[in-house]
Amino acid sequence: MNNIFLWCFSPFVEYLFMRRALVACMAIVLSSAPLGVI
Amino acid sequence: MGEALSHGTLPGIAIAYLVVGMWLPALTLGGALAGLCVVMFSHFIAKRTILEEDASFSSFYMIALALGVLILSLKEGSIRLVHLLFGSVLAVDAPSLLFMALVSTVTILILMVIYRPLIYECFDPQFMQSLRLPSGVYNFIFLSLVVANLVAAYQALGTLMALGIMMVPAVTARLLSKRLTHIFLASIILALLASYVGLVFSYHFNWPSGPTIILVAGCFYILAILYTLGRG
Repeated sequence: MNNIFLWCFSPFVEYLFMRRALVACMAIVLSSAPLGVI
Repeated sequence: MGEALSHGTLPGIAIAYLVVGMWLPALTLGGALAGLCVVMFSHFIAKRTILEEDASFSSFYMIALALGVLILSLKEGSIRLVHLLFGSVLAVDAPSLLFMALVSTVTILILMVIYRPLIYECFDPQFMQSLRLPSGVYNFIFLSLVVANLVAAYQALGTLMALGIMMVPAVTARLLSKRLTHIFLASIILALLASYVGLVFSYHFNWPSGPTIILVAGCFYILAILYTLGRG
């Protein structure tokens, strides 16, 4: 169980660029997805 | 339609790159201008000739894509080109992150304001006309928002994938529900999930991140198709 948690979160805990990538994706997605619907 | 926009912005970005080099605001401005040009040209041609808007969009998009790729490969080797086409989300720095957040926030705010008239214009244009409201204005605002979002999404996913993250979750959500609010919510949740899962996978298996994210979204899409088929 612990391993799975580690597998899921370690990239973001360890590296700044992964955190940035995640936030960037989420920012884009939040506005793009509704636009796609219309 | 978004696809034509996404590639239509490429020549603008390429020209801006030739003029000022790797400076993000100029690239963005160039891309947005070129995208808007493609929108206006296609709109104009669709009104004046027998061609439908879709058809003129796609021909413009081919021209624009070819032009953009040509200009870029004159200036640089193929490495830059690959970056622009497929993105480099792992190399996002603080300024471009701020820019994406800004675009996203502004888009959501504007979308909230124009939501109702835009929906009417999309699904019931005659009602809009009967109210004597200016038609076409909201459509234009909407298209400008699309251009802004595509330009912002380049940074993360590249020109080819930017459209994917916009369309695939939306289409998937449409399969799953009939109510518009549900579709909006589902598409946002699916897209968020796809970007998280895609990033984790691309990290652990050493895959390129942009395509992985889109592939995850594509998997959701296929699952949704199977689900609707199974349900009858």
